[in-house]
Amino acid sequence: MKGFSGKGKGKVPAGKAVFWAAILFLCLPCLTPAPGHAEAVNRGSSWFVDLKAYAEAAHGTLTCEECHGTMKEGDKKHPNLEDAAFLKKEASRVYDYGRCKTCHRNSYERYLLGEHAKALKKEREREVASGGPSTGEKRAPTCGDCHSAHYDRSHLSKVEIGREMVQVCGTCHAAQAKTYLENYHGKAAVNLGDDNSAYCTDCHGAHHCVSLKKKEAALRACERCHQEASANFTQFVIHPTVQDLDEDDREKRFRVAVIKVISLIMSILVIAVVVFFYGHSFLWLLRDLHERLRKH
Amino acid sequence: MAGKSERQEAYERFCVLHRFLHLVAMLGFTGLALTGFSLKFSAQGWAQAVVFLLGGLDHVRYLHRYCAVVTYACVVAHALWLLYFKFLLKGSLTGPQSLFPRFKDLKDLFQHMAYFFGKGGQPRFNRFTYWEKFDYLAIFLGMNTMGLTGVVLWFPEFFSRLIPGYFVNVAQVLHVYEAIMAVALKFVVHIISAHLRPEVFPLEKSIFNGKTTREKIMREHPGEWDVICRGLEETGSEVPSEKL
Amino acid sequence: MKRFIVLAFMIIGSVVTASEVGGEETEMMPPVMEGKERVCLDCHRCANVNTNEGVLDSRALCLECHGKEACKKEVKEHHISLMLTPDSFKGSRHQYVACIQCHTDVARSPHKFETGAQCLDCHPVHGGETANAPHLRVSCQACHRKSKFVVLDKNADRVRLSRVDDHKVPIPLTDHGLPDVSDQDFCKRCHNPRNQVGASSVVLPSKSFLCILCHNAPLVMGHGLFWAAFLIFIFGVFLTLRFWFKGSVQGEEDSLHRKIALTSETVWQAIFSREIFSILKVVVLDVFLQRRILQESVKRWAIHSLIYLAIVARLALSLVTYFAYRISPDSALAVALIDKNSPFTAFVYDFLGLLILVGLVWAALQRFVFRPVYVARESQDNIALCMIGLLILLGFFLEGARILMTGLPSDVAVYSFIGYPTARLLDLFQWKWIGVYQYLWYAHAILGAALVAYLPFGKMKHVFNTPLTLVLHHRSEPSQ
Repeated sequence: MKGFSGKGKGKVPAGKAVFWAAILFLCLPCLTPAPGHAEAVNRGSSWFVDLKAYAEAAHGTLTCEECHGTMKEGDKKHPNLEDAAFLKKEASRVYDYGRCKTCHRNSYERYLLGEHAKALKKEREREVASGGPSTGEKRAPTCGDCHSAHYDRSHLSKVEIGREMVQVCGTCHAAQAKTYLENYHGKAAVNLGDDNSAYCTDCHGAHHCVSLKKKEAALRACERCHQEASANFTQFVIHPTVQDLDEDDREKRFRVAVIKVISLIMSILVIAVVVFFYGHSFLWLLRDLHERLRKH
Repeated sequence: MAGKSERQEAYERFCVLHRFLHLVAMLGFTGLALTGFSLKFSAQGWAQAVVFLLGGLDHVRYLHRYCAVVTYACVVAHALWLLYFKFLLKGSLTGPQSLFPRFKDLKDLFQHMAYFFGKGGQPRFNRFTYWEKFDYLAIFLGMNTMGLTGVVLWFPEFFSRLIPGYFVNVAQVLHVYEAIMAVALKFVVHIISAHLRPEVFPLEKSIFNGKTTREKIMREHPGEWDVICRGLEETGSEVPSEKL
Repeated sequence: MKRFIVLAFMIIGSVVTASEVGGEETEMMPPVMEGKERVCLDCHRCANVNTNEGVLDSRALCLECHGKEACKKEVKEHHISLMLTPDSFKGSRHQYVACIQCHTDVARSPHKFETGAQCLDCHPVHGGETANAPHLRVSCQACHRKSKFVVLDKNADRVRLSRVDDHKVPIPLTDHGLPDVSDQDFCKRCHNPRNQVGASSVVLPSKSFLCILCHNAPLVMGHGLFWAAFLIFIFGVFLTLRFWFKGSVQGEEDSLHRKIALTSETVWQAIFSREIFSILKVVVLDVFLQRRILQESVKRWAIHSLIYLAIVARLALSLVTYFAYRISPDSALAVALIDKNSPFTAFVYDFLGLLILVGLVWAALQRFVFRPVYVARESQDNIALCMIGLLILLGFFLEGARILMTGLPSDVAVYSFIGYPTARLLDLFQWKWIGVYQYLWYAHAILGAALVAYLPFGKMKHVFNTPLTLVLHHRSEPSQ
């Protein structure tokens, strides 16, 4: 039978069908979405507890009373319809996370030393001063804002934890998560599952979340893997964003601006050159085909 | 085979060294593109499939650097050949039949684009047309920036002792954008001019077998044919395609 | 093994403030539990050591005792500190690894480890330069810890860190920092004239890539003498090529540039044509299997193949080892091939060496004793025979000396069926082998390098010339 001769001559039905089938088969991987990362079982706050997921989670062997008490101690009513704030309270602001301390002492104490605890303290002071819950600005996280006590599983691998971490931290630090994922560390660690690379806590500490604005802290973080790093090395910008940046952090703003400007210039250059040459080639093809057709 | 008939006289367009360097650079460039983009687009499934097939991120990194060294070695080899050509063979590096960009190339570009729009005929190209010179310079010069930025990214701790750390960010931006440009141009524009143009479809063989014919030179590089007709003596250091 | 271990056990709530434990060094991950009341799970939770949090929690338990000065043991009236401080991990990435990830079996009662620190759970074995057989018997810690005192443990057939120093005083081994192993001076902790571990008394260079003809070799040129040999070799090749291009090429007499162009053009056209398949056939049958010698005489084919094919087999094995190690350094195959003492490797290399020797002896007999008419007796041939023969003999001597010097147990060494008897023979001489070994090694290395350097000069050039002639002959007379 006449196969696919590739020279454009003769009828080639069977061959062409095979050819296009192959192309489609090869295209399928791009048409399918990227494989999902480890599913973060992040059910929002709900009065209904999924007991199957709960049983598979780390706290699955605990009874409700062990963490929540009976909700009725000292003549309290549950639910309390007379309460002015009934149905208006936010669960993560009401629950006493001191109870986590019972089992998770290290994490709790470490959290108290970090930036999140400082922010929480400031938020509470503001609320006391203004008389009501704060709105608008980002809310400081408590234990329940990052961890799901009901559904978080234990003994996950470093990659699974790292990927979940990026989503959790990214809820408030979206620009940092985004820039991290555009950076080599994020690509290697999250997209390609290379746990030699750094996840959020590898640089910023676990529970003791630190800012790396100061050079010494940044250098210590970098040195953890880049043992040859020098002070200049910390000038490398992992999160080129001005979100959450202090007004007076001139240095970082300058660097981010430099990076953004160069990116902009390069993208304009690349697009211009590519569009020009694509257009050039396209017109050339058209003209050449036209000339050829006219000759016949 | 070098034809015996008058019409199919064969001429050598590319010597063996250049065919070899093109082959190696072609493979190296493809390897670089494949491994580099599998990192840049690592959020996509296809990139993760490529990384998986190549044996994991560590192997992809190694392969990328290996291809970079090989491709840059081609640049260095070619530079050495240029010296040999200039000083031992007494060739011209900037003459009309060389790969050096000249004013005529700009004129040719405009004239050629006018021809696209139906106004006027094709320019009388010399040995290397303006698009061929662009393809060549894109690699010969482009590999230097890619190499330099790449080496900064390869040894950031070392280079950040000499330059500020955020220059590594700059190097990364330049590296990525130039890679996109190079791949977008080579994989489309160069493929069109070397494979898909009706005149050369399916393949412009001369870079692989080094040969071209008299008829082809007359048609595609008439400026060069004039020089060949006038003979080497008159033009002195010009070295167009050599008759086989 | 000394069993007198007494731990001073301090209950929590004592006055000791161990705030310096992992303090400034790991400011990101500060200690938090000192001086506070605990419950069971504060300590006994099995932490997920895949997380930073888990590593700290896990270490906290160990540091309860090992972070305090009172943690020491008494060995023969000496007190050895078992305390770990941030300095203990200075310059080491292991400060972010949980104790139980390396000391896998220690978190239990009775509290002593049987297995030691498990480096190979995370790190592959070395290749190339360091992982020749003698170093595979050296425990990771013997090199990669700062303590300079090493000992050969004959029961386990391993070189490991010694628990006592030169004066037999027990020493603490709590320094978890990593020394800089790239400095050659570092190797002198074993490679010194007074060593008791069976190492040669000087540091010997690694094998050069030139050695890959017969041995598994790393991708380095190594010692200067290999560089010299290589450069002489290159020079010889250059002289040969220059000689060849003095003649005319396809009618061209004068221009070297044109001759090279014509030659390379012919080569290129031959490779990228249908002809390549018949050329490959010639390479396999004539170059590799020596069909044309077999056509003349079986005996001659046998003599030549004993030498030639055995060397090719060795080369193939070296290349397989190289790639097996590169692709999968943890695999049993790679480790078995790198380990000169492993049964397969020991036997095969000895066997191939023996084949070469047999071939050489037979060739010498032909040349000097039987003297058939067709054997030319040129001095250039004799040089080559002598060099290879001496090389093989030195190789066997070296092997015997190595087996003897390193105290390899006989049940392991017996697979080197030539090396082991040689070792037993050499034992009769009662020489101080750690001092003699280096001379043998350098003799072997110099001879090998000389052979490589000599290749383009004498008749050993036939290694390159003959295949080329066979291919060219085939091209000009393809009907044959």
